[in-house]
Amino acid sequence: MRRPIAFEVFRYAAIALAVAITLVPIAWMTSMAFKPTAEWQATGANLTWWPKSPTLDNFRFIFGQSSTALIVALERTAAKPILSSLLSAGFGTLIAMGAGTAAAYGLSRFKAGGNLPLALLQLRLFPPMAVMIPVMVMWTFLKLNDTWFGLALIYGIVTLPFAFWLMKTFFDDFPREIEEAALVEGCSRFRVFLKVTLPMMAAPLASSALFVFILNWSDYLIALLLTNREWATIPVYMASLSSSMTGQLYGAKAALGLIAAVPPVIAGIAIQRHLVRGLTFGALKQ
Amino acid sequence: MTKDHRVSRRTFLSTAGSGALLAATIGIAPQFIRPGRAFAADALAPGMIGGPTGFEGAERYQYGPDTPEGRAIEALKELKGAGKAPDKIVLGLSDGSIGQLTQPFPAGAPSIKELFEKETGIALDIVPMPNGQEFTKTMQDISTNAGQFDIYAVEWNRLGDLAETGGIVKMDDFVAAHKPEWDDPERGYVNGAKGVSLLNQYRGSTYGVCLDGDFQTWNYRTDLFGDANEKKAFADKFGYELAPPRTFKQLDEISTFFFRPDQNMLGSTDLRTQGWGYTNWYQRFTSMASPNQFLFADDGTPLITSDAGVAATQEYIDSLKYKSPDAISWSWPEQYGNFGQGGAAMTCAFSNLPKFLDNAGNTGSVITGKVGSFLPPGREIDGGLVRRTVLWFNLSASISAQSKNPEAAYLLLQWLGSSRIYSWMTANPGGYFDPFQLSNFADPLVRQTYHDYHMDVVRESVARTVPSINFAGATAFHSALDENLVASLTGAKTAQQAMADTAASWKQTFDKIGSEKMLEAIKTNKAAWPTVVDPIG
Repeated sequence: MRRPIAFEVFRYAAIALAVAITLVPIAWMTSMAFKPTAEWQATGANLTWWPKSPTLDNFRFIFGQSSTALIVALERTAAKPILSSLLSAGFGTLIAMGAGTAAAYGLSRFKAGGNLPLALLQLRLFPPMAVMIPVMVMWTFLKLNDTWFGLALIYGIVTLPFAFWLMKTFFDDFPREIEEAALVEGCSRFRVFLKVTLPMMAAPLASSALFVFILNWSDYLIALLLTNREWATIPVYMASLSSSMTGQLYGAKAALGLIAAVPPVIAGIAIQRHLVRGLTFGALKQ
Repeated sequence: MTKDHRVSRRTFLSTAGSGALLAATIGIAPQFIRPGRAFAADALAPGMIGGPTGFEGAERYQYGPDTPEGRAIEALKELKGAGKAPDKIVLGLSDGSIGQLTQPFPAGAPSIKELFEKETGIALDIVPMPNGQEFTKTMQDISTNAGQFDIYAVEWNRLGDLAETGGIVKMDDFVAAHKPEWDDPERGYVNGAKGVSLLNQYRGSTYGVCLDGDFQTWNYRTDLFGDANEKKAFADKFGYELAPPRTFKQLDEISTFFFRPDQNMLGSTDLRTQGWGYTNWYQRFTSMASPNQFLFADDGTPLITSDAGVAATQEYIDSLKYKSPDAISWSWPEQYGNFGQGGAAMTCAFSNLPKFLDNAGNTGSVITGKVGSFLPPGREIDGGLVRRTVLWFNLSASISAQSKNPEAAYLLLQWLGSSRIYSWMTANPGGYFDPFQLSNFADPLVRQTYHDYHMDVVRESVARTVPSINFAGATAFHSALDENLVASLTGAKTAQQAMADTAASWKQTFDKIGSEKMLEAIKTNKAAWPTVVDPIG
């Protein structure tokens, strides 16, 4: 049955609006990243969507070169914060996915862990900030403050419930008959998990990992509290990009924002094939 | 023939990875191949034992053995000789201020950090704290017993709160032993011992060393105010000559006159975002009576629910009409950025604004050579003009109770906060520390970077400055005021409701801290309020 034209027009208009709302900030950030200082705060008639005189100055600036039109000198470049974000978010994701997947499998298959699901859910019942004071005391005692591995550990803990619940849903939907067939053939339970189940769960694993990674990658508050100078992450560093000479360093922030968008985008493209499958995994029940 | 230009994921990732590596290499490499800076040759003036060298006028910042700086350095050397000095002193500092310690100024000079390390052999380890998060980071260090710092630098009016936590050291013994001369009538703090008490002390004991001069000051655009067409249009409309405003009524009229959003011009700007905005409310409220409209009565009753409090708050709300539509999200970066781009006729800012924006080296600023300063607007009361501004933010350094070397930390602060080194440091455009000592206002290098026209106005503004709440509970008092003022600006509360709710919250804080302690603190705070009233006209 053909839908009325008015409906189709409305549908495409709604889609176009949604796409525009989503893309406008990204387009603006991209444009700002290549604008010279003079165009950062242009308003009214001087405001343009695209840079009049495109430049790489903003990128050079955050990596320590002085800008031609900016007499501001940075105390720290963006190199270390980028490394810090990569290490802490990356290893935090590994911790959450490793522990979450193992726990989810145990619970899904053997009902092991008793109240584990609720216990893990408790981690998300209140905002992470509510427990940050005791965490800071513990991290200080353990000498984990201002270290990338300390940050990775807390990221792993905070995002563990997401990893666990997502993976549990996927394991619940995974046909047990396939595992049982392997067991009948003489495979050990661990080998079944490693060689049969996990490879077939690549798609859900990938999509869950990406979700967890983005959560860790975009955190500001935890990193602000648990780092000082050595291992400040991109969001914390970005907040410091302002100067008395020019006010907010919009161009530098946009350049860093653009760089910060690269790892999730690359990860998304790399697992694109799995991503769609992962997001729809279990959508069709047996 | 068609050619399929598909890019495989493998190729994409490989290319993206190579590109990222190349970009990072291009970006990072220059840091490591920059040539080292040449150190200036040493040449101290006769009789001097230390200080900067290598630039014209350096002798003004050098010191003999009988000066606060000289005594501090000698004492540090003694500690070093006795094996009692640390290898390094860790100083937590607002990230925007660090440049004044690490960047050499003027050409040929060493940096403050280099000089200190060279003279004492003790490394200065400066840990950046995000601007605006200084108190949070300090409380974090205290509450978790992290012991990451020897010295904290936080807003001056948090001294009471910090002292009550036991997280900072009482410096009285060090002050007695090393004689910092902060109250020197020629070079020291404005108002001598009274000024020292205000800035460095809590309940009669020294807990901090002032490192800033955040007296809110007013600036205007001389090109706009001097324009013949603007002057005529203004006089025709309002019936008096266009000049920097002397009263809040004039401020509102002139701001309305210049408010031209179609030309990207705002009437006047200030700090309005949560956490910063109440400083401007202070100016309107405290000038409501002569010589001062106090915040508290002598018995501790909040006075902000009075007609004066409600009227000042209503004015504060109404002034949004000639500001940016997003004014209540403005902090100093937005304010400085806008003014530097010629986006406002007037602004109330930290005293360093002309240093940064009326600066030939700041090629991004379009207002260089077009800035003037004026005393805060006020009100005509009882035949006099009451003009008040406020001391707010103003970083002050304290010694951590967890420091293993409190005396060495104190000696660094005495050296850094004394008039010779401080004048040299505050002249440096690399950071936010502003002039506040008598010697700073008269120093040629400071006057050069801050401008003559501005320094005289700042000095006079200091005489008209009220201190914000600086006793125990300051954080709670200001948070309540701040939250309610923001609610009034967004229309969530009326001026009357905002003041009533603030007063209720203040009363709770007052009762929690205790009447005896509070009344003593209020009395001490009031004693530091100004008495200057200007003639009308």
